[in-house]
Amino acid sequence: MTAKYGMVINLERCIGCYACVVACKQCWGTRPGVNYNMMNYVEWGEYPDAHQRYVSTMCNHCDNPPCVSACPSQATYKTDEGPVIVDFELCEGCGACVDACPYDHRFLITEDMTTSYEEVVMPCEEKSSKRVNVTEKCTFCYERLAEGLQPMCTVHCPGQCRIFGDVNDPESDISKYIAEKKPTQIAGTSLYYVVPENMDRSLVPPDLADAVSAQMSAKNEKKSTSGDAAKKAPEGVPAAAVAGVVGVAAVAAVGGGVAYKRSKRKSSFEQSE
Amino acid sequence: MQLSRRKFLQMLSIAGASTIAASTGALSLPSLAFGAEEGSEEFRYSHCVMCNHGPHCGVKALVKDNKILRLEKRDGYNNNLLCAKGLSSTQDLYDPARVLYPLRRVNAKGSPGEWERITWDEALAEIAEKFNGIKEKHGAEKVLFMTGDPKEPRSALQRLAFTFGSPNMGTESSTCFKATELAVKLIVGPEWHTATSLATGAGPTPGKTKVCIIWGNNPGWSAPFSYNGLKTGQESGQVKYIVVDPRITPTAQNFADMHLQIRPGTDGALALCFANYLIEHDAYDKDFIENWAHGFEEYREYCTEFTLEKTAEICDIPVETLQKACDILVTEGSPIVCKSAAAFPHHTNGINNYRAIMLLIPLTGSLDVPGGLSIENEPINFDEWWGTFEFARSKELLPELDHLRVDRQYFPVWADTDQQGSLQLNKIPEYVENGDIRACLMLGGNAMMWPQSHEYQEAFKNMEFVVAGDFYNNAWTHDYVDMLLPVAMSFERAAPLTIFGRKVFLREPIVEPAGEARSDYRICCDIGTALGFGDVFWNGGPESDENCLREILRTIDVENPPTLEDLRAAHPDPIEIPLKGEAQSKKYELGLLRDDGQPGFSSPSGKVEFASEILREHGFDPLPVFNEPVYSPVSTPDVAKDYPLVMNSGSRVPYYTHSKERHLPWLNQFMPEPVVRLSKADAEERGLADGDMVRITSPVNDEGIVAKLEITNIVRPKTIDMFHGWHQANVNEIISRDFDPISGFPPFKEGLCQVAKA
Repeated sequence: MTAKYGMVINLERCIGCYACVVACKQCWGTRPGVNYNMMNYVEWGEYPDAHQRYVSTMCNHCDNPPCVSACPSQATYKTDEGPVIVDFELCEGCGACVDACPYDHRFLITEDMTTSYEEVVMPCEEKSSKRVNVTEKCTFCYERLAEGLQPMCTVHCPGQCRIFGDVNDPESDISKYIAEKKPTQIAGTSLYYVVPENMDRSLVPPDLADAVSAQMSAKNEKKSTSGDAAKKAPEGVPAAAVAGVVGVAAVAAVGGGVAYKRSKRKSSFEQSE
Repeated sequence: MQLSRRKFLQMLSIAGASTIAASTGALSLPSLAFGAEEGSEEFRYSHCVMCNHGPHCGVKALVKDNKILRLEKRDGYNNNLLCAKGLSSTQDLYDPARVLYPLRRVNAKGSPGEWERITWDEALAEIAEKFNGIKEKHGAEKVLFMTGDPKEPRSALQRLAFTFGSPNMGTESSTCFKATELAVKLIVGPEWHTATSLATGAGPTPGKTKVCIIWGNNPGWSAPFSYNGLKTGQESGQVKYIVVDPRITPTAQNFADMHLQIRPGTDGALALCFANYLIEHDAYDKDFIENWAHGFEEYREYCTEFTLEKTAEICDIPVETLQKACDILVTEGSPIVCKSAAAFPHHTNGINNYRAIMLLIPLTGSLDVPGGLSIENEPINFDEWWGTFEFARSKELLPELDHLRVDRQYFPVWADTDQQGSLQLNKIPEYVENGDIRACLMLGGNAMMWPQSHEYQEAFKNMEFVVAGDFYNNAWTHDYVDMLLPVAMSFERAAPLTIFGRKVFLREPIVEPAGEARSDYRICCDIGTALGFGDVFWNGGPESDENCLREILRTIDVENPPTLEDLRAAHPDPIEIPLKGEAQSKKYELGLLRDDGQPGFSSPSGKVEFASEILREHGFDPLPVFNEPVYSPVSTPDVAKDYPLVMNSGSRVPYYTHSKERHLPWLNQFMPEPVVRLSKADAEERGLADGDMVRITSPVNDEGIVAKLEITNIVRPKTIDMFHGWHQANVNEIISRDFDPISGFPPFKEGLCQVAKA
């Protein structure tokens, strides 16, 4: 059976240390504001029963990726083994996939984007800085997989929160982990989260179908109201998708982005500002 | 979608691959970004120093053409993981803002610096002229040799200071590790290895440890390398965790069977309450107390004051919660461990608070037993900083120079128990005002380290000559120095070695130093040579790191210590110095802790001192008495009317260490500006909204500092959480220079303040 790669992120172990965000950046030399891996802070409750968690999000490598359908040049595609990647040669930088992604995890690299330091190009940025007018994203470290290595975020998680591997192989570490921990799968994607008992499901990314429909609602609302109103979440719907639709466009435009989103409400991924 | 041959080739050409591997199966794509180009790549090994130089987490660097392409964690190594900071260290290395050449100030100190570039020869000549001039006119001891946070230079800096004739060498430990060490010395005696192996405690041994108290510590962020050990303990289901912390932290979230959100500054009372409860319930090691305790009766009687009700009131913890925590201790039994932070005693009653906590270890029979806190076996003569005492020349030269220490008049307990040769720096303004210190060599210093920082900036300004070594030109410190030298970063240097207990690893320079940067070890040797001690410093020069390493290795007091050649041959694996005998428990019974080889401890009474004779001798109450902070809602209720919030600073974040790393883009994105945190109730009471700019004032500073407000549930009501290390909003300017009279430590984690819209 063909391998199918997936990842479990165990939030019971996660300490919100941000190593995953940086492990990825320093390997791939991504631009300022471009974080294939993001950290989202959530809190709920009040003293003396207050709680916090750190939720790492990335491309969910959807089974049926909206970005792939949206791509007019077939530059982005889903590999046999699961990771969704971009052929930079074919990518025309139209940004359709960025709009299509309901999880806000694709990044359009525009000409005004700099390297970490404007005056120097770091060695890890020598290749990446030559890529302009293309979209980038997490690839599950596809090139490393070919060498039998695990993704950088997985290897470098100090809390050992990430399990990566072939979910089609019942003997693999990840399959055993899934059987034991029974994580919540982001349905329709390759990602799973072990959600602590006292934490609400809505604080991790929504299932693909829900994310897509939230995105549709937001787009419809945006069409019928002003731009500002579109930032608010329709009631009962996780606002991540909504914020993502608006936010990512802004990110792409100004080359700035947030690797860290804070959330206070029980049911939202809303950016705090 | 299939990976077509066309796409496959295109992806390779983008990466610049010159060869195409054959498709052999599902994952046939060869390495693209990593090794595709011509030119050899190799891995080189070193360690990270992005936090406090202590953990030395391993670094494996992929290098090509003398450039580091990426970092990875290093296997076959003690601390084999990297945190966000470690993974960012190449951003430090390649930062265009680094100081690359020696600089001499051309305008007056105290104004924004105007600098001229000079050569190393010029720099060294001037340093020698100034230092020797002061030595001749006033005495060598008038020159202060100090580091801030950097620990790696210290052994070499001591060799320099003591050879020159000054005992006045000091470090940032004036506000860090040495207080926990001192508190423990007052219990088990001043013998250095015993105290340091106990000082900040340790995590649990699953299967043996019954309770782990994580006290004022968030190792999830401050020590990620220790996290997995704690997690394994928890997942074994055999260890109970009590977390004492005013804040909600990932550590509290992920571990606490019981979380006590205590009022800052009252930990001593809590510890005495635990002790009282254990004693009342007969849940302590009577045998040990009978044979090895000194002053127990006085202590027991004092503890009876700390009933559950009284303690609940002092600490502002619900009495039921307190009861539950106490019951865990009684029910689970011992041994217990306590894991705390080096800087935990940032209180005006810090030493006694920490003594009260650490006395729980001998009380419960957890001292040097499996599952409890262990004392080092057959300690090697490494000093605290990966040198040897012989290399540092401390034991050799300090006895003659000791009377010239400038800190004894202020902190005699510190000076009299110090076996390391390290000064209490917190009185620098007084040392300068008295004329006791006239000049300074500062390797990695930071004027923001101290409360009322401007007084220290003024002191450096008033010194005749201050030369600093640093990676960066930081206005808040270097506007007050006369000369700035470029220092090599971790991956550019070979000294000191990487040492974990008895394991010694080679540390190879991964890349050449940038610009004219030199390692701290070389700087010390070059300055030592310029001062006239070329024979002691092998005449300085580029071989300095190696010369120093050979001397350190030569002076390790074991038979056939490893040589540099041995380490190179083993690299990247370590050489482990074997124990002569077996590891032992209860070494105090075996005469292994005292210089005279007798059973017992190196304390004045030879026993574990619940009443400290060293303190009594110096005119202090010998018991670990609890005192309210100098400023608190209880001790100064009138002041609290205007300043009703309890001040707390020094909380860690996982992407910065103190004032470091704020300029690194990969990390700065997570917190780009100074932040202060308040609970929702406190913010609402003041009409404040999330994101407002607010002013924080205190009894010693009406103008205060301005920072951005974050409203969060993780902060205790009536308490603030203000992050330190921001030069734009230096929390130290609202903290008073009230020091713990025993340790000299400042009250970073207590006090009173008010917050209002800016």
